[in-house]
Amino acid sequence: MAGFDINKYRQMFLEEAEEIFETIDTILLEAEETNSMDNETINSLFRSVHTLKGNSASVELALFAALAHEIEFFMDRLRTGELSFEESMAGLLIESIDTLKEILELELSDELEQGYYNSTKCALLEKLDAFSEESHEVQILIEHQVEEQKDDFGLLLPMDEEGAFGPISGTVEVDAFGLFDDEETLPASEVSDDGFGFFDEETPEAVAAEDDGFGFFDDEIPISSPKIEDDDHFGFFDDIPTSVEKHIDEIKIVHDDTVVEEAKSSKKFKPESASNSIRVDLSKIDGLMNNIGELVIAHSMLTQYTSTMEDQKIKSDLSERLDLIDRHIRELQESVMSVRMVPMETVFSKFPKVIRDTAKSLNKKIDFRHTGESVEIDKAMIEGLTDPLMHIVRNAMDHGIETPEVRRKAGKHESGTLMMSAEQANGQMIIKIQDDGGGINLTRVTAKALENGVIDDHQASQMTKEEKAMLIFAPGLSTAEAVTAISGRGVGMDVVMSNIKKLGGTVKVDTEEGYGSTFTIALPLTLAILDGLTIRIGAEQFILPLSVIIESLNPEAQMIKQIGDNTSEVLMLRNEFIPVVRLHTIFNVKPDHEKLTDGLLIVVRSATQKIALFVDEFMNQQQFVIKPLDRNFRNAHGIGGATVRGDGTIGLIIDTMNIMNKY
Amino acid sequence: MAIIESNQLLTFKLGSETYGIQINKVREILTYPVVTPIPDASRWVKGVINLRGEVAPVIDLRVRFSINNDPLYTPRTIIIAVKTQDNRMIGLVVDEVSDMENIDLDRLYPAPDMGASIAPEYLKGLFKKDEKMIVILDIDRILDKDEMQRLSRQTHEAPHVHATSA
Repeated sequence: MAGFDINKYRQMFLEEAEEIFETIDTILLEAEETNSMDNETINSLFRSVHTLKGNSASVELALFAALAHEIEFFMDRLRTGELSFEESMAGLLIESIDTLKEILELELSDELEQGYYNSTKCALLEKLDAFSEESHEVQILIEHQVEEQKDDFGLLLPMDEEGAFGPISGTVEVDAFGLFDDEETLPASEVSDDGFGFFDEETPEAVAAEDDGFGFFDDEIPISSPKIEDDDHFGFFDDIPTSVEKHIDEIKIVHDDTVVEEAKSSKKFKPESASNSIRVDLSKIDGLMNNIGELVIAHSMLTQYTSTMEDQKIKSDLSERLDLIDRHIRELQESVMSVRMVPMETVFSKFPKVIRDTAKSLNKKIDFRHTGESVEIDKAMIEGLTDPLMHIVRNAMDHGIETPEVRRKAGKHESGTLMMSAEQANGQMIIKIQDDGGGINLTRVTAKALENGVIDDHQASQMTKEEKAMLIFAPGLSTAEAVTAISGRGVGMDVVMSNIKKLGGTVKVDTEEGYGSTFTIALPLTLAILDGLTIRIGAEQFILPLSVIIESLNPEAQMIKQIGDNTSEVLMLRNEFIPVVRLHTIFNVKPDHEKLTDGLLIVVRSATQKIALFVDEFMNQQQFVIKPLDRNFRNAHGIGGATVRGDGTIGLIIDTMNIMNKY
Repeated sequence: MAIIESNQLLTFKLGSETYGIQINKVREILTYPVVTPIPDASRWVKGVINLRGEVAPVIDLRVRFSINNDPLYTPRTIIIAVKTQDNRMIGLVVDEVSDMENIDLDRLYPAPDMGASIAPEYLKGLFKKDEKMIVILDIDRILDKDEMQRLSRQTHEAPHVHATSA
């Protein structure tokens, strides 16, 4: 293993963190202005900070994570109602977030000193604790924090024999600089244990004593510093041993501020500026799509106008050029669409690192495998998909997969397997996360759900195994005994569910106690484009997603049967009885045909069964750009979204799942 | 605190009275395009149109405030496209667009709390221009998403409630 390039992950984290900070700032500023904060706001703040904490820990920003943990802790008390929102709180939270930003910046650039960090953190904690009623909690909290910090160091120090993380790990370097700034009196031996074998023999103090005191390591490097002040001191230390392959004789010269900057710049994390990719707000791509849409409309108007021209010569010349424009527009449209699609690899690549680190901190052995990395997925989905997947994976590692000892006793292989797969099936993206751990303890989940009032005794007794397993998605439910940095506050699984639903998908969990769990997420392939069939009912046209259509037919009289009072009709098709849904009654439009045999029946897939939709006529089949309807208004019954048609009018897209709910 | 952020108004007529909305909310004035009706929507929601690539609902203010419950729609019917505080595009059907007015904040009267078909919370105030009255609408309040959802649900569910109680 050549080692991960942690900077790549830090870059991703930084981009994400910036977005999260922005959201938090907006929320807080608003809260400050209105002097209020409702539960939803607090929850979303809490989740934001929770995400920051989790993700920063995974890119080894231990100090940042520890601070975020404190702020999260504070927000948790707000969230649970232990503390109530006060006027000055918004201001303090803004301050806390600013501190968090500062620490992030310092930790990323390796300029964070332990002393500074500690004092900042304590100052912040004191302020936060000023809100709690009992002042003695302050002490407890601080103690708790110190202890936890130790923990974090323990967890995150690179213990990998190969030490691939050494050179870039924030934690280690903070130690190193602590020594340099001679504020910490860590014994050198302890440092060497962490991989800092090469260190100047002379203590910084000794060096400082001399005006031009140079400490040497393996190579002599004259320092060409223009001016050396009395209290300047020079310390040399080499890069830590594990990076020797890379810069074997690179020696860091530490001199005053400027040299410190230069010397460290080769090593410290720098946000990539010359990267090959750019992050573009999806709304800009949507804007581009809209512009293209307008172009298409303008083009078709021009084409129509051309067809009415008298002069044959001009007409054919113009048509030719218009065809050319048409082709270019299509290409443009395709390339904009392709901008949105990325391979699943983008999602998978985030996991090995997290899994490795989490496994290490949990003292578990986990073998991560994945398949289907070339399957393409809409970029818009990735953003919403990564968090839920991460939660599921963390939970699987934390609560699912057992420790090697337990596994051995259970007769399983020492290392657990976590399998992630992506595939396209039935016009859907299916993502599975499978672990061979202990499975979900349904008895405990049910007990917890009862305790939290999610379900009552009666419901509990009626529930199937599958339904009980689904309880883990209920808000506030966590079976973990302890709150850890990885998972366990009971936020998470409900967020998983709501995030997946937001993407128009579903989550299912299958679990077998002692044998592991499988989470299956089904998502639409894209949020943006839909292959649809235009259907007509009277004067109105609607769009039916192609993916739900099974077949269509012009029914014969003997195929139609009625149940009870002639209002429930069923289509008898081969060996099946399929309920007939008259779309015109649902959409309240006047149809051309009232008799089923005069029109068409389209058999479609619905939530649990097939249904036959009665329409007057099909029109053409084409691709549509989906636009949400409820952004502006409530969703209409049976309508899943809208699209702008070629002529500039709006077409409504039928949601077959929704239609059945009325029946 | 200023009640009105912009003192320029676009005035229009609903029935015989003149109403005004702040000009900075207005994005476009257009004639009645092909409106796609939404099944099951309230009577004052005429449907949706494509406004610069966005799916925007069209609301008939006359029906919304019972000024004219059975208006005619012709290709000459005017729609004022407005953008709400939370960046939603919405089309408003009005009888005719009148003018632009500069208003003097000092001469703004609070809306009376009595028998108006438009509840006072939807109004920013009244303004006297010569002998005319201009009713200044609080468009963000009227077009508030939750408010609209609540109202459309009410009108939608009202008959249903009757049916079950009968």
